[in-house]
Amino acid sequence: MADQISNYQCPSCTGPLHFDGKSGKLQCDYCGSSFSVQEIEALYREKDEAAAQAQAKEEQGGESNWAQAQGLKAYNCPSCGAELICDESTAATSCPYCGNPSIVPGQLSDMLKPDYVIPFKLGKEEAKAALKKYYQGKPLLPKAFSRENHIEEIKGVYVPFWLYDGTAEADMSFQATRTTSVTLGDTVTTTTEYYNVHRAGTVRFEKIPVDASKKMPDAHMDAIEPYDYDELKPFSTAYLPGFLADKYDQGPDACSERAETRAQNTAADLMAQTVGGYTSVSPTEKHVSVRRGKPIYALLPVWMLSTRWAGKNYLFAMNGQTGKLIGDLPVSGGRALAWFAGVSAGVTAVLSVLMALFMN
Amino acid sequence: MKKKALISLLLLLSLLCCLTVSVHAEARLDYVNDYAGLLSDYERQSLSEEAAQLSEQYDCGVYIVIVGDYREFVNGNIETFTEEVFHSYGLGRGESENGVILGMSMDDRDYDIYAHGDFGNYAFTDYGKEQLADSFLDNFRRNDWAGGFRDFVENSGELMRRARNGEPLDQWISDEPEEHFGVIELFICLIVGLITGGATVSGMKKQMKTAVEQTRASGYVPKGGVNLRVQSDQFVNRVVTSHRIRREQNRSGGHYRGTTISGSHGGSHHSGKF
Repeated sequence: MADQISNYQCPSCTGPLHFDGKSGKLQCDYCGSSFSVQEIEALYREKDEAAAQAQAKEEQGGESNWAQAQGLKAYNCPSCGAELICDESTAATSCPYCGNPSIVPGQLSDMLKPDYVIPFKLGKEEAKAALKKYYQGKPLLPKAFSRENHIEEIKGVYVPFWLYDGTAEADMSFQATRTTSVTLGDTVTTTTEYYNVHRAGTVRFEKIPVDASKKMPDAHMDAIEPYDYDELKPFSTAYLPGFLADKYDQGPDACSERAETRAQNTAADLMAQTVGGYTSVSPTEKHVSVRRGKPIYALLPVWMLSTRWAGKNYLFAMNGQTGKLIGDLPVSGGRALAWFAGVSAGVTAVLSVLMALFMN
Repeated sequence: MKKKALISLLLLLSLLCCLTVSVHAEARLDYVNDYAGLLSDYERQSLSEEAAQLSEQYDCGVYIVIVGDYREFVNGNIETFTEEVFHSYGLGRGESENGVILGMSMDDRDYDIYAHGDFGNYAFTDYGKEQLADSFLDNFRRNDWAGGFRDFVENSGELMRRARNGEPLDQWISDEPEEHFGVIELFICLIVGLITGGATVSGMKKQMKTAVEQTRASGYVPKGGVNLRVQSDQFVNRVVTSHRIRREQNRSGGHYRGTTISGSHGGSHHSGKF
């Protein structure tokens, strides 16, 4: 099963290569040589194809072993021969024994081949620095958390995403009122005009991303949006060495509902925003449907950082392209109480003084 | 012979006295009198006509006298000067000589509003005179003389109109003891404090939870991606309601400030610097 895996090795010294986000090239860990994605693609094209064919052949053969029964797959590291046990969806990993980046081209070939990839731009050190910065300016964060907790695991993952294009058809009705008041002498006259408002139209969407991996928490993947799609590149496995990658395990139909819901909500908002100049507006009817186009399959870069504190795991995600970092933090009950008491007391005191001065 | 000459001199003096009194009584100031050269002829004429028309309408004279330095005319202050001008020239209308006069002295930038007569003092309350002064002082501070005098004349008309309708501009003074900061006020402050504290901590807590699913996709709408096909706003009907607001006259437990009469001539002043 070693022939199902590709190890991208330096053509000069056979050392392991990894993709460097800053230079956009593959670099050798040992001799420091660097190679463009196209150069490595050309060198490894035949080998990758052979590895993909070997995997397809094995899957057709229907041989099963204990790993497959567990929903896992077993490969052999081509460098050191050690057995690699991976998830069914793993497409890029590294050997836990020799540390060499290992690609499973069969996971990302033919029908499973992504259309595009956004290469990592930010590295591990930037992710660590971003997490440190993220702790700052959070008054409710327990002091001990930033002091005692340390990163347990940090991994750069190419996460499979479906990018949906589509058009939302919206047809909405509203009841609106316009109210004016005029005071003449001691009489106030209020005039309320009622209107039936109707809006219909289309809203086009481009590349709404939905992560196609069950392993990745949806909230984390949503919260690190947006990605800059100008940097989408045609997919090549040469971007993967040094990072983890999974093939999708949720198909485009399974994920489309989330994209459609977002499109429907946005279309309804945009229609409602065109109703202006009224005192009050309330929707009476709403019909929004989405026509979706062919989704694009893309791998997008994410740094996943996990920490542990007080017996609980904390997971953070950073957009590997833009550096946007998100994640839930613990709240110190004592600090929350102190802030509540302090602000309440301060505002009460200031208001009391002002009111006393004003009244006396 | 000596006796005849003395009688003739006395008669002549008496005649001269009578002539002087008569001349003084017949001397009339215009409604707008600018001895400091602040106004053009057109401005003065136009203001004067407006003041005359209002004076006629409400039977209460509206006058303006501007001098370089009032001390050239009287010993005293700007109030003495305005009062002297009003009475020496027989200003005012009707039996009780109703009128209001704005006296101005440019050297020390002094002004005085003097109201006289039953109707004059009724229309130009102390509060009314304060408000009247406020209406033109901002113009004078910008050396907008014509604008300031116009405000004086027009707002004098408004005060007389209100007085004629039985509603002179006055200030309500409550007889009830002044409200003091007490338990209720403290309770209100505490509630506001607690709400603010809660909102602050809630905002801080929100900062701690950033992993949230997106429900909108507005960032994925391309430029020109919104096409509005139907846009109709159809008028259905109109509902008109009226209600009366409580009038201040219904108030109880207080009184209007009214006018404080000062001086020996039964008039009231409001003076200051501009």
